[in-house]
This record gives sequence, C-alpha cells and structure tokens, in this order.
Amino acid sequence: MDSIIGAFALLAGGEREVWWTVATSLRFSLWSTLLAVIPGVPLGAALFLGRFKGKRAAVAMVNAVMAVPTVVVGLFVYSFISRSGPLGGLGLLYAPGGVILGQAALAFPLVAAMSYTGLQKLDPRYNETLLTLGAGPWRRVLAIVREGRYVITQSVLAAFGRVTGEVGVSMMLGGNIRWYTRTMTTTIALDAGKGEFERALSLGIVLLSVALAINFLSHLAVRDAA
Amino acid sequence: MRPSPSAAFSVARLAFRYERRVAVSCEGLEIGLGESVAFVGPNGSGKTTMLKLLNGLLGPFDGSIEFLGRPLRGNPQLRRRSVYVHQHPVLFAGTVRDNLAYALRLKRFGREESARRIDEAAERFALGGLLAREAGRLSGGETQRVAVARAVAAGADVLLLDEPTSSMDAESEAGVRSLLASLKGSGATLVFSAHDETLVRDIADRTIGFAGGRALDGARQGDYR
Repeated sequence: MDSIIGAFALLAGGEREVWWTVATSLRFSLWSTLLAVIPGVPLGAALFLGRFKGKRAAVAMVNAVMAVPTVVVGLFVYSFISRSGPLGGLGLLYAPGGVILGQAALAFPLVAAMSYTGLQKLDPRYNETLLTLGAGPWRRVLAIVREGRYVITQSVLAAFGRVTGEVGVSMMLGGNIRWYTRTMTTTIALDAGKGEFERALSLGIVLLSVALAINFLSHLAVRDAA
Repeated sequence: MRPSPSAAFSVARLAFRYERRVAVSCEGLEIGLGESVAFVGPNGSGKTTMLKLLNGLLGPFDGSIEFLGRPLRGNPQLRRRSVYVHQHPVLFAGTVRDNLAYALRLKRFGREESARRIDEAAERFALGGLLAREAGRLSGGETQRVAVARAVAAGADVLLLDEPTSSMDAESEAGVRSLLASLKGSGATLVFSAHDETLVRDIADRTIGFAGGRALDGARQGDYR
C-alpha cells in the first residue's frame, strides 16, 4: 500500500526522470506507429482489395508475423543495425532511432493485419462500385481507407498500445540508457529488479492509463463507425 | 463461336468456380450493342454472378468473355463504357452532385466538362431537385436513378443492372421502368436481371434463362422455371 501511495506521490510531485521517461516512451511510440502506418495501412487495404493467386498465403503470413515475439523482432532488426549489419553505418543501435525502427517493425504487421481484418467488415459493394466506375488501384485504396477510417483508427491505436507496452525491442535495441533510450517498460524491468517499486509502480500506473485511454478511444472509433 | 463485330459481350465456354464448385457456366452467349437483354431465373441461379463476370468484377474464370471484341482483362473500353449497378446501389458520402462529380473525376473529365455533364444528367434523369440532397437520404427509386445517372454521365452506354426495380413501391418502380425505356430508346445496351415480368416484357428484346448456375441462351420459359 505504501508503494502505491509513494508511486502516486512521485507522479504528482512531477519527478523529473519519471516524466522524462514517460515522454520519451510516448515519443518513440508515436514515431514508430507513424512509421508502421505508412506502409501498413496501404498493405492492409491492398490485401483487402487485391484479387491475386496466393492472397490467402499472404494474409496468413502477415498474421503469422504479427505473432512473432518482440525479442525475435528485436534480434532481427539488431542484425540489420549492428555495426556489421547493412545499416550499421547509420549508428542506430543503442540510440532512439534503433528503438523506433524496431518498434515500427513490430507494429507494421499488426497495422496491416488489423486494417485488413477491419476492412473486411465494409460492405463489399463499395469496392465493386469503385471498380466498376473505373477507379484505379490507388484511388480505390484511398477511398477504402477513407471509408474504413474508423477500423483503421482502431488498428493504429492497437499498434500504439503494442509498442508502448513492449519491452524486448526497447531493451535489445535501445540498451536502456538513462536520459537517452530508457522507456517506461525498460525502466519498470530495471527498477523492479533493483527493488525500487515506487518508481516502477508509478510508471506502471501511467502505462495502465495509456492502455485505458487507448481502449476508450478505440471504443469511440467503433461507436462512430456504427 | 466467332464474335460478331457489333457484339457488346461474347462469352464462350465460361466456367466460374466459387470454393471449387462451378457457380456459373455458359457454353456460349452473345449480346449485341444496343440490345436489351433480361437474365431471368430463380434466386441463386447465377444471374447476379453472371452480370458481375461480364463487368470484370469477379474472376478468375475458365473460358472467355470479350467486351467489344477484346478480352475483359486489360480492355480499356470496359471501364470507359460499361458500368454495373447493384440491386441496392452504393452512393458515396456527400450530396448527389458530389456523387456525379466523383464518377466524372474518376474518368478524368475536366471541371467545365464535368459541370456540363452534371447539368445534362440532372435534366435527363430529372435530378434537378436532388442534386443538393445528401445521397444517404434518398429513397430506393431515387438511389437507383442517381446510380444510373452517375454511370451515364461518366460516359457508360452499356449498363448491367441487377434487379433494378426490386423492393420498390409502385411509383418508384414505374419511374425506373420509364428511365430504362428512355435509355433503351437512346441506344444504350441494357443487360439486367429481373423477376418483374412487366419489366422484362416492356424493356427486354430477349431473355436468357438461368437455372442452377447455367445460362441457357435462347431458353424457353419452361427451361428455367
């Protein structure tokens, strides 16, 4: 109980490092979600609109990639951005750019798969009408994204929640460096291990609030869609 | 079967499978330009699927479908001249004018030409009072009228219509019937599915029967009932 009171006191007192960590986490999550949305939403829409052989296999692959553990994604990105990797020269490892890239790799299949699944709920006549009126592939993608903006909003929110709550990628690619790459989740893991429960709990409360806010916004998106 | 030069659609040895089952098959079928053809037959007999196949909305399929003498795939005339209109057509968010303007933008008509075509469509299809109305607030008959107007304004002269008068009140039904009669009079090619015998009798030059997914060209009434 004392730890919980202490955690709230830390947050209310505006403890600088706690709020810096919160801001850094949210900044990483925003950028990585944005990076994932740029290819993820068009891919989800293209999977929805496309009529090609192997479509089921492509969808199954995107779904399968979504289930890959975060540390495996981290390891995969690590092999690209480590000094001997093809992107080693960019200096992304143990830097914010590396965390953002890794989180984007984590969120990308989630955005694509959730967009695809959500768009399937749209009235199929909509796509047929666009097609019969002569809309080209990009026009159809844009129109479908516009029509399915609520389900796409849900997928973006889910991706944001996923990257905010992940620990494997941030730890592996960011190195949990204080005042540089430390995020809420890596701080919680570190502080809990050191026995500093109050700070771990204070960040846990913020994480929980973010999760609740995302759920609430997602609920609003569904309600608006209906 | 060699397609006639004036054929809008030529179908040969068509078999379209859905989940490994042949959903629609047709040995041979030709629909001439300017012709009005009604697809008749019970529900689930393949009429809608055939209309969508003719408009390139479904595939892949075995056999061939040609539009104006060329295969559907990669045929630029298909989207330029032919439009499929659903039984319950979809109008996009916005006003009736927005809907017409969007279809014209898709066909890359300039602003002035689009405005001229919208005015022309408004007069021809009696849309004057509807242009500023929200598309989502129209009745079934009005929606059908706007969907046809949208297609025609964008340059389509081959219309594939799925049950154009279904679930309408008598007044709307009469309105759509007179709209189709006027389109027929202007030389448009009409291919439509219908249960409404009056519509078939008034509009169709000939009927094609459907039974169990098979198109029976030149069918007699008893073949598909």
